[in-house]
Amino acid sequence: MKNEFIEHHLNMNRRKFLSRLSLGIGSVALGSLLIPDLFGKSSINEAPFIPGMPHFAPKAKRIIYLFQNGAPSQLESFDYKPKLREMMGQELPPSIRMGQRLTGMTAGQSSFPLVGSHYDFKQYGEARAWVSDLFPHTAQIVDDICIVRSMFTEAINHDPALTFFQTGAQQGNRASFGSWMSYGLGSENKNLPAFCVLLSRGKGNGQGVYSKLWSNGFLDSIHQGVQFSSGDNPVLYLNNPEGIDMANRRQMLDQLASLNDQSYKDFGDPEISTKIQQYEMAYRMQTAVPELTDLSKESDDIIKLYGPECLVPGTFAANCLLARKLSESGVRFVQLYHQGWDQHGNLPNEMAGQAKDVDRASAALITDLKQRGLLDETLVIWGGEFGRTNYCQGKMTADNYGRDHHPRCFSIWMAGGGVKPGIVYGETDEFGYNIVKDPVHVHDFHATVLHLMGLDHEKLTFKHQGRRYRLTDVAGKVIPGLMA
Amino acid sequence: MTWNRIRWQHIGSQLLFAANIFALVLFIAGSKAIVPAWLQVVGRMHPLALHFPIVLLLLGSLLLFVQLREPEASRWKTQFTSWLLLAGALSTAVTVIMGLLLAREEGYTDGNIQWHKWGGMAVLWAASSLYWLRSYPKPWLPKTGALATAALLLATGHFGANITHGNNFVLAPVTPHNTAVPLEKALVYEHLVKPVLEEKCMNCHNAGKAKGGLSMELPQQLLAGGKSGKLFIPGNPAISLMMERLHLPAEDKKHMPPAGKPQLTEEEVALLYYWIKGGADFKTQVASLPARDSLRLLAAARLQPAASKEPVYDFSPADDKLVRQLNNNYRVVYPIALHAAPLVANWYNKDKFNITSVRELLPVKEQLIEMHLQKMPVQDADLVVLSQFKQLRVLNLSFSNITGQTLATLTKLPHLQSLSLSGTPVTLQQLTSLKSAPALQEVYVWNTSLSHADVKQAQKMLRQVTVVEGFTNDKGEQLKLNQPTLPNAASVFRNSIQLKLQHPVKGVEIRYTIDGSAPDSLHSPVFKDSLLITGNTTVRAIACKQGWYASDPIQLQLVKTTYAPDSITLVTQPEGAYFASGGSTLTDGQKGGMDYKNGKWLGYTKNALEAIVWFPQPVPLKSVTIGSLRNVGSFIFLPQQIEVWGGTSPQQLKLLKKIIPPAGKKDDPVTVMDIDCAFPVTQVSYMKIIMTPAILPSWHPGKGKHAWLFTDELLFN
Repeated sequence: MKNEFIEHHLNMNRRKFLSRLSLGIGSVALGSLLIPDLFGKSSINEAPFIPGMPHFAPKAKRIIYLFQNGAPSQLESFDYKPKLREMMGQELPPSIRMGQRLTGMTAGQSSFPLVGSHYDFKQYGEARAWVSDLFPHTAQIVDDICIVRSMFTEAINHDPALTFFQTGAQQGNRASFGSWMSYGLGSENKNLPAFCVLLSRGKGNGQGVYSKLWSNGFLDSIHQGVQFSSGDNPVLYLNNPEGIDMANRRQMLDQLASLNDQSYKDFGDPEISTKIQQYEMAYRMQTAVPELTDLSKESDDIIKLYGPECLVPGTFAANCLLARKLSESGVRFVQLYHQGWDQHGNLPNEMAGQAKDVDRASAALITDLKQRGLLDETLVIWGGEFGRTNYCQGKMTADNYGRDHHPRCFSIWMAGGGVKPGIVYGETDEFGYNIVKDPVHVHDFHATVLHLMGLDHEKLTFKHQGRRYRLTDVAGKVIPGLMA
Repeated sequence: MTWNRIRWQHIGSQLLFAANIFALVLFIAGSKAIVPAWLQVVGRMHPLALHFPIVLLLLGSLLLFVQLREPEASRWKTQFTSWLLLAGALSTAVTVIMGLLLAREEGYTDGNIQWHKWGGMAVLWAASSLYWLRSYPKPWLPKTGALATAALLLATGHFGANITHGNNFVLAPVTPHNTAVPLEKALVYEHLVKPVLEEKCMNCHNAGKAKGGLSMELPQQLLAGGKSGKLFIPGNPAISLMMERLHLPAEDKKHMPPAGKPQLTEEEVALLYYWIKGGADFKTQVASLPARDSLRLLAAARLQPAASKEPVYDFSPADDKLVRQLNNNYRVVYPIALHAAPLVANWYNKDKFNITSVRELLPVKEQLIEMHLQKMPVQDADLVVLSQFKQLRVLNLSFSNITGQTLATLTKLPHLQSLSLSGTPVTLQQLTSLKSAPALQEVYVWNTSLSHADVKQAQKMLRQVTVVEGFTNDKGEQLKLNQPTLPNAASVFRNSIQLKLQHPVKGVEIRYTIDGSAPDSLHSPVFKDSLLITGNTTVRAIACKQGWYASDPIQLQLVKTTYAPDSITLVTQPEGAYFASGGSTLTDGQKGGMDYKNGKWLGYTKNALEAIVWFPQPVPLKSVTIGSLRNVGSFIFLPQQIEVWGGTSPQQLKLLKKIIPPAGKKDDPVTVMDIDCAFPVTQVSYMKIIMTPAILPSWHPGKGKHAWLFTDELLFN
């Protein structure tokens, strides 16, 4: 018996060991033929995803995001709560508030009196969606839009909330939504940037917007948002300086490109070739941009549709019109910001002014895209960074009150490109404080929008500082109920 | 033992070892593998190969347990078993490798695959160990190994079968199940109500048991009810026995289903409620219910969604290189998604367009499904070129140069679904030629020659097509114009100014007044080119146009400054961020407006403002006007005191005027104020102006501290 053990062990002698070793290595080598990066990094296919192309057939090709900066009140727009009127002035029940955090602006308030909408609501469209009297034109297009009443976010103050919506993180060091889109899908029109930003400002209490919101973050700088300003020079430094004509410019660019090329060969920094591309695009933008921003040729029909304000550069209406033209010309992501929605006080008056600024033009944009056959491929999003409280901030009178920040529920709407039209999604409790059905987190919203654009939010990644980043961070799920 | 046999077994054993390592590599790092097409073929033979290990290993394992008394036979058996086990282990290795290759393909994502993968590897290890330890001196080891291998084999096979045939394939015939029925074919009773009753009620209320005399198996039994009476009254769920029993408190003895049995969900109760409410019909189809009917919505949530409407394309992709070559700065051709065959083409910049640029895409006409030619100068004759792209689904020709005469050409496109003709002069007659377009679903005709009535007519003729009309202003809604603008709105001028007024809307008349009265759209003078202003004036203007409401008036105060100083030196420096452009701010002709942060205001708080003004030669001055801001909430008050000194040389200054502006009050509105300091006419070439900031009054939150003073402009008359 002992001998047999010895014999068995002797079976594993040096010769066998060596031959098996060589076989083993050979097998690993064979495996490595199939797996190019088995041994550490390899040049090809490092990234699990190829940027510039949708992962699957997209529903929408372009996005126009009408951001209502400052957080419009859901209780005076799309979330009808008759209960609040009935209980006007009564205390917000603790069972509803559940001790959730408040901002420093009202945390010290000794009482939280409920306040109902100053404006009446009516039902519209096939979905019988409730829309307040402040938005008569949006009310006319409810059959084309999807109202989401169950959005919620994590931040409670403007800057982090806005940054969260625009970059997927509350700190401002990530790539913005539009930059991700430019990175993920590329530019359609090589004569215009893939990501454009338009600003306007209402008369209401405002909050600033900063260029970090359209920053490319860690992505290549070609994905940065380009801000169009409202003056004679919509894109700064685009025009030729005095005494330089197109031919001169061309010559200068050719020279510059050859110098840059040389230095690219020397250093291999990809930012150099980005720079060359950007100069070339700027050259082509010199003809593309003036054609787009010229409002003098708009027909009477268009002016009547968007309202006469649309011819005054820098207004929300003019930006909507410009957004349509940019989008139609293949700009992947047009980001509008309309400031002035921060109604801590004097809400009934200020909000009426804000709504008047945006209502007609927002609805007009949908109608205009539709009549050109473009709504199917363009996704329009309307909404702010959070909602407003159901209780009054500051002094409450019969027809004046204010509302504080409320991240736990708010309403936005979406239209076009693969969105289920004519529905109202989600539900809040009768106090308009908490969500009771189908909540949509900001990450879910991002995941869904990316899905509509043909991108898998888990695959749209960029490796930076040793980690793969996503717009949806490590969360987010696609919401099928929002999609047609 | 012949040399041959040992040699072959040796080679087999080595091979088995190699295959083990290879499989391990694939198993660990397989997700990164790039499998060439020919290997995919090998991988797909996995379902064929897998039968060998099952048979060989099971047989080999079985033989390990067989004892033969005859020594010759026993030896033969041992050898045979050894061969069987080797063949089994080797075929296991091959099968596992094939399987790992197959798993790389798309579509294998569910939990079964992970179990199957691990199982496969485990079988391989078990089978290999079994072979190597087959003649281990202690016989219990190979025997246990054989049992383990067989068990693993069965488990792995089961998970594999689940992948191929679906979960629960084997037991499916004996397990109750709901056949998935698409919504449009479903019956309300058969596919919605009955499954609920089967699951939650029929365990007791069946023909065999029939508790309470009630069986629910057949419609007539349902209608008949039980001992307590009829189960329901069709159309009236509120007084129906079934609903009553369901809604009784759970602890009530008569509550159904009885305590301890699975209860109905809210949706299920609602389903029964709406079914009874709708008349408890046994034949109603879900599809026949109105779109927003409660029962239909419940049905939609429970039944499987209708077959996906995702389009399917049956053509092969174009050459990648070719597609790349077709792209240039003004034409983009790209596949709808990664690795997808269908192509989309867009054109930009109409100056660079001609039809050749479309013709160049003919090599990919088998793949091109969308063409976006909006705003491009496409001519009528060019539609012949377009009609060669037989795969087109979407064609956008809005605001192109076509007239519609050749529209019928497009009926040759067998798949065309969406056609945009907005902004072209197409007529009703021409549009109806699209009647024979086989697949057309939508046509956009906004801004064409078609009237509202024409569109209705067109919609009638083109039955299958949605004719989208878009915005028309035939409701006659009148809008209010926006205000005129002032492009050169400097409100301070010397001598005279050519005032300009503008409005962006074509055909607008601007009417104005300069006497302070409200302008009206009938009598006020019409603005032409420019307006000469020579003195202090208030201009008010409105925009008017036929068919629009006149705008709100715009108002502008124009003030004159007669003498321009050579320079102004600030003796004391402005504070905070409010230094604007220093001394020159005060004579730049720019009023500051309401916003003190806009860089047009000078601000002082701790120190008094002291400015020295130089004139090139002596001027006869009778007043100095000082522009100031008051914004009580922002701590901005009028100066406490203003002193104006003047003379012909720095040594001979005398006090011309001292003013003490009114003190700020709590509810003062935010205002821009011009404070006039008038004095008898004096020859002046040198002036000194001193403004002292106020002290915040006791009612103010910052009481006792210095207020800010803000000034934007000095006028010398």
